[in-house]
Amino acid sequence: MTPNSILLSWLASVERSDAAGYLPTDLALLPADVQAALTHWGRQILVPAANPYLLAAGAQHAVHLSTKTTNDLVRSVHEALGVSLTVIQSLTFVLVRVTPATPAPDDAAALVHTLAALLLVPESRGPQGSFEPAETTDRGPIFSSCPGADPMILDDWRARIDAGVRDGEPFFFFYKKDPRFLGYASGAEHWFDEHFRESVATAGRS
Amino acid sequence: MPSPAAALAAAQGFIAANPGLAHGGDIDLDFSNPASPHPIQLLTRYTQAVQANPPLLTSLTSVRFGDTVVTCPMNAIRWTGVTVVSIDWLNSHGTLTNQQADWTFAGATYPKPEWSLLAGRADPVSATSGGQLTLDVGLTVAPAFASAENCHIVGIYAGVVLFEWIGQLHGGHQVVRINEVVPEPIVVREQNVQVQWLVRCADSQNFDAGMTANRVFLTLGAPIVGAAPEQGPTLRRMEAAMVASAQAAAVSNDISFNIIMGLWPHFPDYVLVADPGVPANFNHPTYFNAAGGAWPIGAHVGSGAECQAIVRFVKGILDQIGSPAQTTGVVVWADPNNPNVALEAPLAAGGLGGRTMMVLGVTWYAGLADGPIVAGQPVPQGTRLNNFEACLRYANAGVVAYFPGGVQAIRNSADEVLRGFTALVWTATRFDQWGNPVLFCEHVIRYYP
Repeated sequence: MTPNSILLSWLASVERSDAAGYLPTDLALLPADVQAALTHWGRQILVPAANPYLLAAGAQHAVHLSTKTTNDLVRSVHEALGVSLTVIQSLTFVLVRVTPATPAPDDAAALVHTLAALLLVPESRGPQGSFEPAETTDRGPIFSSCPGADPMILDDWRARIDAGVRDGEPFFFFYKKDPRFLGYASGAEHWFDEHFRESVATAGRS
Repeated sequence: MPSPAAALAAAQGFIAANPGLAHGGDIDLDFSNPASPHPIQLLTRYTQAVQANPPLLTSLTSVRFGDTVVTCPMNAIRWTGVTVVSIDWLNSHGTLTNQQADWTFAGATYPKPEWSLLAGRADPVSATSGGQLTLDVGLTVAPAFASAENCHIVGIYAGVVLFEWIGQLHGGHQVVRINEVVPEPIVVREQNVQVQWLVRCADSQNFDAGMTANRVFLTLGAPIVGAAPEQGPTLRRMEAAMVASAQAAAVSNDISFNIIMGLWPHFPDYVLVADPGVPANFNHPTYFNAAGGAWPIGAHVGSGAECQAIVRFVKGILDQIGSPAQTTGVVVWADPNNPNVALEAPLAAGGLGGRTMMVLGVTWYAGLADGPIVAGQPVPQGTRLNNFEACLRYANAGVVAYFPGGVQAIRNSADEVLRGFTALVWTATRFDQWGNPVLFCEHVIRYYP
């Protein structure tokens, strides 16, 4: 297992969720702890104009209920600062996907830095405010603010922030690392309580 | 011959300008100004005036002016009233500010005297308990030229004599120093000290000298002022500290310890995610802000806070009441190479985070389990692998105690904190079917206790 393998595993998990689909929801219907987490991380990571959890953003929110291979997720989509933003949160990570209005330039590193300056608050651009090449995959390059940092033992979520371009789509990735604990909570696939899951499932059937 | 009233007025003016006269003492006679009335002439007129008003006259007294002796009624002017006009709390720490609008250490310190009839002020006072409270009481005896009398002053609070003084007062304004009859016990509490002042003269006249009132915050010592944002006494903070202290658990003779024991159950766990219900300027849950630091936790207890913020909050309360106790946030852990020895460091300066080793090309991570765990099996749901136990370390008068976060128990040492875990283990990461990295227990280094 390399430092990047956790990122790749979680990106793959999200893509399985994309295929399985999301159900529209209202933020106010989400469990209180989930709402609090969304708000918290939105404010920690994104500049206000890019924060989908602010009412003014007018974002469309949807949830994915975990399956045998996917995690509970909340997806928020909106247009801001000239780009399309899709922010996906699980109990343990935040993924920000960006679709630029114009075709992405070939220089992925320059694109990532430009988007970071546009969308992210300074604290969420890594300790040095820059992203270094971490790995090149067949679907695009991966960058990291600290490529050597092991996500299992980060002492702060700011210690490693990842970015990259995947199938032509730029993204940023944040680890919700609790410094008190080693790794991430087991059972992280379940973020929503049973009551909420049932209400969403019922609404989806009707 | 002036009228009695005119003579009385002239004599009063002269006496007021020469306070020693009212006490029968010597005064310097100035004969260089022939235009001014001779004092003896004035006194003669005064005597005549008083004799024309028999109710004021009870006896005649000889007064010496240098070599001259005059018989006059100076010590015979009966009192018609006594009024307390000011209270200066000599035990007041003098550092409390009037800031109540927010939690910051701002505002102005309250001026002296803390109670003033003329200024219409009745300001709060913070004072150390466990000793006698002492007041400088400003009194006005009417009329201003009334004679000196022995008297007995009592200040009655809640039906008992709280302050008492015996001595001599004279007409006009004077300040007397009055002590509390019985020293205060060592307590932390707010008292609305409403005192009814009564004066009894030697001639059996009784006077109601009025009521004074001050909010008094009794503390363990002078509030600690320092660089930390939670330090510095303000009215709002002091009120909050009193509320917290009122919830102290009666488990020991150490008030500071009891206060922590009362507070700790309100913080069953640390919180790392912001509660949108807490105003954003407080920066929940870290409470790193310019709005009073961790003090707002008191108004948002249900939202919890980060460990370090809880420690700062508790320390802020203890500093506010001048506690001699030392409170610090620490982490406790053990290293795999020496699993029986508890290590201790300040918050964010220690722990197992990053303690790894490579085994056959696989990274193993050290962790302290807080629930059941077995080698060769996945870490069960509900068992977390901790990098440390964060604690509030308390030290006072030779007593040391650790308050682990999220644990409603007190530990007497770092070693006891360590033995609150079930085991120190080596683990490795695997991916589950959801793509999440999960921990697998490879080896138990040591089971505790």
